[in-house]
Amino acid sequence: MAELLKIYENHPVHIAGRVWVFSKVTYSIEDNQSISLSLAELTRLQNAVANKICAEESNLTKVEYDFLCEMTWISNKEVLDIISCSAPGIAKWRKNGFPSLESRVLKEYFWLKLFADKDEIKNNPETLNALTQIGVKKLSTLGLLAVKARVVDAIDGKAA
Amino acid sequence: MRDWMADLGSISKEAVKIEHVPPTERYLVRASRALLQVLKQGRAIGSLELGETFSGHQSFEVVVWVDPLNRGSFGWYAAFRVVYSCKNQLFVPVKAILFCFYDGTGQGASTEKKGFKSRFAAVQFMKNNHPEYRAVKNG
Repeated sequence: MAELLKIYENHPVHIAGRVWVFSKVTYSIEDNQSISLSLAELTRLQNAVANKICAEESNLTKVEYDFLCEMTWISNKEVLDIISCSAPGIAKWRKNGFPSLESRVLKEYFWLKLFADKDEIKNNPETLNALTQIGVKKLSTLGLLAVKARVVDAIDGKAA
Repeated sequence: MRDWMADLGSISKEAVKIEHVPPTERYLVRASRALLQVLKQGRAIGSLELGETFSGHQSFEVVVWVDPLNRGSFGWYAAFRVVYSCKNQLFVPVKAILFCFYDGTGQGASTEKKGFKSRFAAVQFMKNNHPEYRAVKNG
């Protein structure tokens, strides 16, 4: 089936409260002249943004936090378990921005949920060990036993 | 009677699209994350024949409902435009475009929250707002 595609180079796309410039974005023009994005293309753009946000050193903003929660299907309740915080605490952080330590833990957790190749990590004791070490390090900083268990569960595909 | 969900499920991921209007970023994220589950777990509740497109394909609109994950939460209401190629009287689904998605959350600062907690409520909404759709009983 012939399809009309429109390819934009260096194209700005608004995702997670910011404008990101992508080297190439492909839109489809439908018969009724509406513009659409394929699921594969949209997932590519969103994953690229999620990866970039998780890799940044800056603290999580409300919009970034909401975006990553929606990308990973993580509920506020699950976040409360991960960083052991109260619901009003999360509400306050969503308003004023997340503190640096919690931002780092959450970003890592979001990244693992999105991108960790579960089978590869499961079958590779060295990688698993290295990730557990990160968990242990954060545990000692945060004093939260739940983080390690949750991070390892996420790698193992057990997390809800 | 067509098996709409089997048709939607047979379309490749590259040919499943999301209409860029309304292009609120929250809508796009939520709809794209839910889309595969909608195709896998959804049940068709309504359909409408649109007829032949400019490119000579047959197109239909199909409304799909996914039950809420938890009791009391919102289910997903999604509407697709499905394009079929017609060869030797045989309809083959080639493309699906999601153009409406309600999950009970606001899809942007200016848009109202819309969602349904039961299949009955979703069907009622469809009947009231789009009487031209034909209800699908066992979708």
